[in-house]
Amino acid sequence: MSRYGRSGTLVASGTPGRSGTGHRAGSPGYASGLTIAIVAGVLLGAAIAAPWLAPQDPYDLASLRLDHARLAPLTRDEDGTLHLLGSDDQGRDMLSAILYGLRVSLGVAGAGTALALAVGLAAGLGAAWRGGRLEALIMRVVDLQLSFPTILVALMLIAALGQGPDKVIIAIAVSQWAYHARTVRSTAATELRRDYIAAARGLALPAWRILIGHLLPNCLAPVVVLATAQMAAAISLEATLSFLGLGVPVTRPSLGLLIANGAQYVFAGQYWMSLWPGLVLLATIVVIQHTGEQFGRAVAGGVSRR
Amino acid sequence: MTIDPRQGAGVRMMCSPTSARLPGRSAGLRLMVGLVLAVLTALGVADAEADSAATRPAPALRIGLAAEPTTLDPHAVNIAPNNALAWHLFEALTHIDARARLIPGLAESWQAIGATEWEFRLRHGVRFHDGSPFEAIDVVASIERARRLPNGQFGSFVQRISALRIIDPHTLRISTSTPYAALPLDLDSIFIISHRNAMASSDAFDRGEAAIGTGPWRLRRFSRGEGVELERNDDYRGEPPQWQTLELKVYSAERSRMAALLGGDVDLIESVPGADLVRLRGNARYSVAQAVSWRTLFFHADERVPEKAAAKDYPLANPSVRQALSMAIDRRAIVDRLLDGAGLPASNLVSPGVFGHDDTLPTPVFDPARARALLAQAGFPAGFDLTVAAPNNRYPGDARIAQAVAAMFARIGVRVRLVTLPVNVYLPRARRGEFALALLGWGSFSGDLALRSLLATRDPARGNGGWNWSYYSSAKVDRLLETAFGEIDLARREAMVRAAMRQAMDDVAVIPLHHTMASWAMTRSLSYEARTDEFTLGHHVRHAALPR
Amino acid sequence: MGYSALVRIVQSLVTLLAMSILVFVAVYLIGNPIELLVPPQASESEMARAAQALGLDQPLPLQYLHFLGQALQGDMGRSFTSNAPALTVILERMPATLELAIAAALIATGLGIPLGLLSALHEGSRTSRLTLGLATLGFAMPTFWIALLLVMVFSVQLEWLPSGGRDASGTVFGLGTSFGSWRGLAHLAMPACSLALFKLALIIRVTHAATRDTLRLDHVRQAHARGLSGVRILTAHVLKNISAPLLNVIGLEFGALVAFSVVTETVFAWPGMGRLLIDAINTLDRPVIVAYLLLTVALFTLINLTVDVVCLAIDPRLRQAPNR
Repeated sequence: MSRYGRSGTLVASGTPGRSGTGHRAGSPGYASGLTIAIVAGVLLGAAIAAPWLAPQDPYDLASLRLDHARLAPLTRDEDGTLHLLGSDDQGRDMLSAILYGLRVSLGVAGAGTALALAVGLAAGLGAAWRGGRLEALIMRVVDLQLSFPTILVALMLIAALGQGPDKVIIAIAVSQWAYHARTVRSTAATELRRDYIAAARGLALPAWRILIGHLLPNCLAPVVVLATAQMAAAISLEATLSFLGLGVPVTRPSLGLLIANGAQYVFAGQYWMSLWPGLVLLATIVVIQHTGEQFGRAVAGGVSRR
Repeated sequence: MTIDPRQGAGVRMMCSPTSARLPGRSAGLRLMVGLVLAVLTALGVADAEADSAATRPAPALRIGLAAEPTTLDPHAVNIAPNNALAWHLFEALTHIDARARLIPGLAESWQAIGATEWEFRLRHGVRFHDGSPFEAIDVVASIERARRLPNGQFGSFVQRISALRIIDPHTLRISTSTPYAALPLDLDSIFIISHRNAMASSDAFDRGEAAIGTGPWRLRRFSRGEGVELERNDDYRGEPPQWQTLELKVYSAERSRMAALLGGDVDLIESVPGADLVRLRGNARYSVAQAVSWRTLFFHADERVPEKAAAKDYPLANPSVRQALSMAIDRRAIVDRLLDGAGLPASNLVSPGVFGHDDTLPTPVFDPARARALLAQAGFPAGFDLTVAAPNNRYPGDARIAQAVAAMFARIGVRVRLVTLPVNVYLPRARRGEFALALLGWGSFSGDLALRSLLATRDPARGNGGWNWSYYSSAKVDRLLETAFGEIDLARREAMVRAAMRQAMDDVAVIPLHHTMASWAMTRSLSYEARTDEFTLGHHVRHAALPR
Repeated sequence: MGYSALVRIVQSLVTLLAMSILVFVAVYLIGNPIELLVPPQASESEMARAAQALGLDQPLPLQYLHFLGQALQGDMGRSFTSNAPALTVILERMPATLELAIAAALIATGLGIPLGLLSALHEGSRTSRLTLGLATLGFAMPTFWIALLLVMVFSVQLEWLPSGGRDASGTVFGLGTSFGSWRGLAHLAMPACSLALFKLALIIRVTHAATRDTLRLDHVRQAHARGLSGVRILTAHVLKNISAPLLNVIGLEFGALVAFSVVTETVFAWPGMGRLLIDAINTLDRPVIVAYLLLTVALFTLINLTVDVVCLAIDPRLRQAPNR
């Protein structure tokens, strides 16, 4: 009936749902998964192999020349080098800049999200498990954090520690952990009332085994959905920070910084400086979201099987 | 882009059914296709001319500003948007014309009557917006208020005034503690309020009760952050504005300001990005005005030799190394390629036409080969490590310019670490001397004032060299400046300032980049004389003489 | 209930205190506001005088105590850059931001919840995948990019909507607001849409995920086995189950809309609080930053409190203490 029929919902399909992670070869779902996998592979491969794929080292300042700036796609500069995707306002080859920028974006957003997730999980689970004063304290810190603007966090970090990708990672983590903590706490609070936890407690299992072996896996589904959303948000956040001049160094641009730099030329019809990195960013986020969804589905399936 | 913009909407609507037929693709990918189409459409759109901006009836003028006036109190916050707004409501004893030269304002003439005393003759028949006459007592009240206002930022313009004497209602004598030839220029910054409002708070100005001046406009409404509405002062002493009402709206983002003009929300905008100027020049519906502004961008090179190093090992202490760095910069390329022509390669610390500008100083030549040779001669054949720092939200294109300069330095073998920071982080760190090469932009109406702040030997007690991030020190420059401030004869004074300027530039005390351009764009039916001081003054916007 | 609300309020006060200390330290770390405030030609003595006038010459703890003393009397200090009371400066901007946030929240929830529900109920269908794909796109592009695209299409090309600014000449109940006139609504449309897009995407996804999980729960399956209709299951079980996470998200996001719509307000020249905050940060206008963030904390606390109370009312399970 539907592409995801086997994992479909009760209301839609009328049959009890089961785990729907594995698509049969030949089904449309398989094709879709395959496309995503290929795009993901290409992006990841491009990011990893950037130094070998890129025609130019965009980090080599001496190779940037203003007379090669803002060349349209498929034009050759005076030295005869072909710029497949054009060049940016500093004379950077766009293809090279995008390959390296993808690395920066993925690295910064990934690390930031992972850090935020780790802190958020610990805080959220801790709050739900211990309850009482600790929970109140953690949730008040969460409130505080959520009302503290990322921009100010980023500014403080830059002022205190200097500019750099690591500061952006910290800024992302600092601004996002609270979301994870809140979600984990509310999910965990609900889960803690379920029978299997009571059963686990009844077995007198040590707390860490209940936390990690039982509670954590059952809190993962919403967390994974949120984490993929947050990873996408982190990429956007990094771009916005770069837009405001608080992001990565201009000599080592991320996709977001490339878009921000190119945005001012869009009105003049010089679309390539922001369009190409924008599309790569878009593809990256689509892939991340999709992967996250599959993952969430797998985890949810695992729960329903239990 | 060859897509006909008129079909834009059609393309957008088509994209979903077309892509929906693609089998086996995820919705996300399909939407990507749609987005590409949408973006391409938008690009076609951007090329299209807007249809709006037809000729409007004269009564109302709407201007899009780049930055927001924060208060109507003319003595409180010394930032350009506030001063520009204040010029609509208030006047000063002296004014600055479009070419940055001093002209009479509320004072019809002035002269030095001793080494430390000046006499100002005030205009007769001038009235404040409330009908009361303008007299010397109002000047005294204004100067005193500027000096005393808690948190006021205009005190520095009157700090050298030691006494005020009213001879008659239209004659005022002002004494300074030391000979100070720049006094008439400083008084251009002191807006004259009615003495009745001498004790008024900033809030009273913002509410409009005290915002009463002698200027060409009366206040109608001030809404912080949103804009200002003004109406013509029919009793204005000079040529009255050609508009019945004036609306000043704030669009701080370049893009939205431009869009506001193209969309017909405003008739004139200030501070137009270079790329858009090029585009607007080819558009019959709009005209642009452009002039070299009073702001010069340059790098201070910290000449202080680190404690543990020998002088010969610290490159920036050597004038020929600074010369080499200056020679490595292709100023023409920066202006043409990065700023789309919105700049003028600089040889001086102040813009052409500004008091003290030395026309005979040549713009530094671009010669990377000779720069390399100079470095080798100076003992750095393999280059050296250098931190180059710039703000990224202060001057037009600041961070991009710094990056291009870093690339040019890299090509003569200097290994650059580039730091670009928001100005609130940048300025304090630069003032603490944390960067070897630091970008600064400086606007001045007078070369002696600029030199004193930027390159005079540091002397905090006397307010000299406060922004001398180079720690440059030249006895000759200091002496020339000292003499110039005591010289009342304008021609002799300017000759001294030029000599000081030449000496400092010969020493490569700073590495000059370019003077920025001030630009305005407006509908074809208007005209505006581009001003060096970058102010957008509604009363100077006129109907274009003849629509082409 | 009353007691726990009291505890909340006390906790919030502590939060407010912590926030104010944080901001003081933050601004201190970033730089000395005096350097940005005084005109370039000022001498050192003038700078010292200005610092003294603003109390910036005192050691930081003393500055803080002074602020605290004033704040307890309801005085948050005067803005360094406009010389007006910090609270006045902020409150002047509040209506503009509130109406923007409300419009965006209405768009995001009004479209997001039904779309999220539908996409989960018809999991795998073409519409469902299209919706989720749309949600993905909503995340994909930074807000400034979307805002620019909107301006290019609707203002410059089609000339349907004004490119920026706010028109509050129309009135509702005597208050000037964008909702009061067509012109006002036209000004509001693009900023609200671009602000709503990200939140819309988030709400679609959260609704979708929560609904999908709920549909797998045993009691829902049983309900289905008992032959209850889809509509009944939806209203009796699904909506009740998804309301808690959804309300949490909506509450938080509304808070974020009010507090930090910086980028949107900048691009559309919307005279709201977000732009004020970034300007204040750029000039290190500490009184405004402090007052702003304290207001924000209060706002978030209020929102969280409301969300929790509403959740309790909807989902009785949360009332029991967890079994230990």
